[in-house]
Amino acid sequence: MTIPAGQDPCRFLDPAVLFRLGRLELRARQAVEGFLSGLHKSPFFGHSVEFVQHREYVTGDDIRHLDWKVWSKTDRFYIKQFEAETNLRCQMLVDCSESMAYGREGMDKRSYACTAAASAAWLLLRQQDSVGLVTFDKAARRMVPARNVSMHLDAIVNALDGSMPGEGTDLGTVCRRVASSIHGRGMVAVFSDLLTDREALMRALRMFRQRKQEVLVFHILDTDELNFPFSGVTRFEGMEALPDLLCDPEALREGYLRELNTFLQDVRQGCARLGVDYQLIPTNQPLDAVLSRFLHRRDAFAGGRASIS
Amino acid sequence: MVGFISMFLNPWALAIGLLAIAVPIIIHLINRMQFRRVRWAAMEFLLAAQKRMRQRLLIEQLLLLLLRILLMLLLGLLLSRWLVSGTPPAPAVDLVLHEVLLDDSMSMSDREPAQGEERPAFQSARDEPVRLAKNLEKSKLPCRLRIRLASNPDNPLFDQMITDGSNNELQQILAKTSAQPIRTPLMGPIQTTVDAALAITEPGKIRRIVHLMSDMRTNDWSDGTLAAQIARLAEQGGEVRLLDCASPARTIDNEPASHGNLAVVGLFAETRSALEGQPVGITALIANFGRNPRRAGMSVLINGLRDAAASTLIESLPPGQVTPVRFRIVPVRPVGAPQAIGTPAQDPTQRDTARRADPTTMVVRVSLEDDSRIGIPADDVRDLIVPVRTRFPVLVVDGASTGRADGSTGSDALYLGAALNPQIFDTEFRDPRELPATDLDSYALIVMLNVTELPDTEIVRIDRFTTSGGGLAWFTGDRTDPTFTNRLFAMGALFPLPLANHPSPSWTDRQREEYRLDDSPKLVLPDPEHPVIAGLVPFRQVFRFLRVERHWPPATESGWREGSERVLALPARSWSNATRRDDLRQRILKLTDIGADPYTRPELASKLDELQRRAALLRGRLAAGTQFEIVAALETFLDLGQGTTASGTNSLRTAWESPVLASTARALTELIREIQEGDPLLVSRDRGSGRVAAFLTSAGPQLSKPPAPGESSQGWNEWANGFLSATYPILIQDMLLDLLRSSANSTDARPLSPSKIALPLNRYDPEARVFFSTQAPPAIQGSGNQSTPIPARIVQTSENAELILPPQSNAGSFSISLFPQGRRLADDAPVENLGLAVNVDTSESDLARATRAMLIGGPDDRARNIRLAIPGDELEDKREQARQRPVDASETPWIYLILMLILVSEQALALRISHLRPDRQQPIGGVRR
Repeated sequence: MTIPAGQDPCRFLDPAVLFRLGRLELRARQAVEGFLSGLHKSPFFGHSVEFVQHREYVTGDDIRHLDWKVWSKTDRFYIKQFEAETNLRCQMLVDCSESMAYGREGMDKRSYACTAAASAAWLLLRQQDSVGLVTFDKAARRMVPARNVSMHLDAIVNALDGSMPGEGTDLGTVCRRVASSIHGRGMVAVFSDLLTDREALMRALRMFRQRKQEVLVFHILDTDELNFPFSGVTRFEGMEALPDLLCDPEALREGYLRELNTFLQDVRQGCARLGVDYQLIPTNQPLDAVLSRFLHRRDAFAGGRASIS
Repeated sequence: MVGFISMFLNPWALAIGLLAIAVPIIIHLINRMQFRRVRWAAMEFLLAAQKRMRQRLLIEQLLLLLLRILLMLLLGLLLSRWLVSGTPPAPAVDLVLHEVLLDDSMSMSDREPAQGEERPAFQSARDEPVRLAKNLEKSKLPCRLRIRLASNPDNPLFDQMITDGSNNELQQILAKTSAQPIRTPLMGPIQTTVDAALAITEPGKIRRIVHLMSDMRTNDWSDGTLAAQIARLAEQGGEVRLLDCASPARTIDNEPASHGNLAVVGLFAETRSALEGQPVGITALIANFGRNPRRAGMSVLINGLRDAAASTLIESLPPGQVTPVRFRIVPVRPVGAPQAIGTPAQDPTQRDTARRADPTTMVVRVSLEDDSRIGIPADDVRDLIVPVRTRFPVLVVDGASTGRADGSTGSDALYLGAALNPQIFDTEFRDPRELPATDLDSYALIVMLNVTELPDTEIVRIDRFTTSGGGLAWFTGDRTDPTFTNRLFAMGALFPLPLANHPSPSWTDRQREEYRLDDSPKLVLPDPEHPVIAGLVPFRQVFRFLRVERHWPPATESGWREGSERVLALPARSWSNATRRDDLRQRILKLTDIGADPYTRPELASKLDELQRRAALLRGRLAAGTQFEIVAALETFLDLGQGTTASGTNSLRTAWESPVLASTARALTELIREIQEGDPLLVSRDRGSGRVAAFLTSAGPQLSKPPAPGESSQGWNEWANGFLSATYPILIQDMLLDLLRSSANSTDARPLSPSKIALPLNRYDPEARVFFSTQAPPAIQGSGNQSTPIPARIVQTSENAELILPPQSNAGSFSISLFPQGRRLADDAPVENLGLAVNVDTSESDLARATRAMLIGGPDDRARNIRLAIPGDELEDKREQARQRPVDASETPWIYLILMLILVSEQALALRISHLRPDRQQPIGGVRR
């Protein structure tokens, strides 16, 4: 099917356009709507409501899930558990460290990451998947537990909106903490520029993998960081407590790019080794890359779950 | 620092270049100051890259900076015109002072027609300052040109800052100059010029250049004083340019070619005063300053008319020698000269005045006519003024007449007066007391007969009379006072010899008898060729009968012999002393030893036989002969005797005159004198330009006063009235004429400077009539050889009067007519005639040229700022100029090559560092859209 001219679905996903939208929620919605409208096949499918088992109520359980029939019979509180009550439990880790503040014309990496995260969350929530969020810098800043109610998006968006660029990045500690709170299989999506200790990053990713998590790494980098298009004497002021450097960027470009490539290579290779889905996202890329990647992974995840169970 | 700055033609540009070196650095620093700030996340990589590339970057950046600095430096060098070769140009000067000394001495009139145009050296020299001025007009530096003539160094001819019209003005000024016919020693002018050059001390740096335009003759330069003056300037930083204007042009050779020159270096008459109609011998000394024998015609002009008899062609003038040419002329009075006065006036003063008016001047001009016309024309002509009289006025002062009441003369005056030919001598007898009233200048000769004493005022007048050319003869006698004569001798030999205190004693009758019987010569002629006794030599043999009884012997000291001529002498008495005789014999034997050295020389081989023959004869005489026999034998041996001179075949004259035997001949002649010559009888000597003589016995045969007790009443001699009285007038007249003999070349006045003639006070009219007859040929003079009257005045002061003759531009002769005071226009006024020859100084006639070593002391002239050039040379030597012309970096290709290389590498490096690569915008990291 050909797409009529002017009806390019990506037109809604162009970050330049998207970022003019003020609210993150709107942005996310716009992105997802735009994205979904371009899909050939509807991604929506029915809820699985098959009963799986009963379980004794523990404090904190949603009383909505009490099986009143059982109570009436046994005077005991049981929770009625359905299969795929949450189809997917996805934990999103959004880097809000200082380094994510880089960007031009408002399109900083953090905004991009937040938009992408919000979009993904909205997309997942629409599928009744549960989505949790952790924003972090040196430590986890905001944590939103994974829920699958559509209202949950508000919490996520608020958390994202409220995340202010912090200090350094310590992905390892954050991941360890997140990983410890994750039970069962799920998906972990990391939105970060990964400008942190590589060893710790890999350790953290491995930890996720060991906890049977599907890991998606959205490596968000600004195009400037990828191309280093600066010229003229420039004073680069280091973020995250790195020193400043006054230099002629043209002279350093080559070395910089080589270093960057090495870094990207390392990360990509490390991710590949761990089975982590790694995606480098320049900030000028439309969000569909992120979203499609999510959908594909989710499909794969669903299929995987089917095969496992 | 100065040396460094002088490596650049444009040192200020170097400063700018040095400043420009800072430009890349400044740009770099400015760039560092204007930087962009970027908050950067991926600092990690940047730092790593920077850490890794820091060294390379630093090197690259430094290299680039270095290249840019080098670029600027090279540009600075280029603009500052860095001298890569050649000496740096003289530092900028504020004034260039050109001191020109133009030699206008006589030798500068030298010409050499064989070389083409006939152009004296002075003309070549004269064009040079004009050429210099033309060159200087083009100069950008302020130039001051000062030109002096060597003849007038204190007043510069031209002294101006050079402007556009200077050269024309200078040309006009120089056109009026010409070579002067005088010798100009260069020492003074050069000193003046050097001093003047060094004296200029204007603020700022002055370049001093002294140009000497001269002909550089050995005369001037041989003693090194001129070179020392020049070196003095060179040592003080001045430059000297010696311009040799002489022809042929000097080449690089050390010894320049020179051509010869003929000059009349002397012209004198044998007498200081000539008689009309009496031939006068005149000698011209002609020098050939050259290396080749020359021939020349000598023409003699007498009062402007050519004397065909005296003019002659001199066939051979040997090089480097002075050839005396003798000729005789017959003096004539010029047409219109007043004739001799018929009857002598009664008044002695009038007689004196008439005598003063008697001489007329005869101008004898000798000029050389040389076909080649090479050399200096001025010295080819020489003038001689000979006063011509009708008779020689003689003043006889008779000491014997003193005290005589009747005023009659004594026997001395009587006999002397009788001996003087009235056709030749105009004799005036005066008493010593009349001397103050006598005008001594009227006379040519003064004879003092038996004078006891004279007042001091008269001595002074007589002294002046002799030094200014008069002849003075003293005859001694019984009244002679040796105290007086010795005082005169002490006054510069006014009396020619000191006398002993007493005359020789009178003889006894017996002595007279013995003397009469003795037939040995009674008179010795020490120099048979002396002009006084030349007339007596034929009568030599008769002098054995002459009685000279008493005479005044000379004082014992013999210092008077120096410079005096002993004309007559009494026989020596030394032969009677046996010891002395043996000594003399031994000396003769030694000097005539034919087997010994001088006679055995190979040159004398042909004459040896004759010498041996005569020596044998001499030895024969020596054993037993009298002193006169030995003298005769010696004279024969020396070929001096009367008999042998004519014998041609056996003549030894040439042998004795040869250098081999010359010293022996002199020694033998001296020995002859020693053997025969006793007390002198007639002594004469030059005094000033005059001459004095003393006759040491009485003039007449009688005593002038009664004899002292114990003395004989016989006269001192019997020459005037005795057996030999015929020879007396010959002796007296020859003796007096000899007093007029001129001793040497008459002094010449210099042209160009006023000549002064001292005259008595209040005698002459202030207006004198003066004519000047110039020696310059008509071609140069223009107005022909015509004499033109010249204004001249007699200047009277309280003490004396002087006739001042104005300076003349050429040599020549003045003819002066003086009129008595107040009778300027009277017809019968006794006009006195004087003459003055003004001749060139021939000391410059030698045209030998100074060698390079004399001028500049060797080939290292450049080092000493002394340069030798010839007319027409570039003012600055071309080769030297080229060598010294600074070649700066902008003229060499390699600096551009280097500049280009640096530029290219700078660009390449800059391009490399700026990373302007085509793949710049290619995204990396596998990002796909």
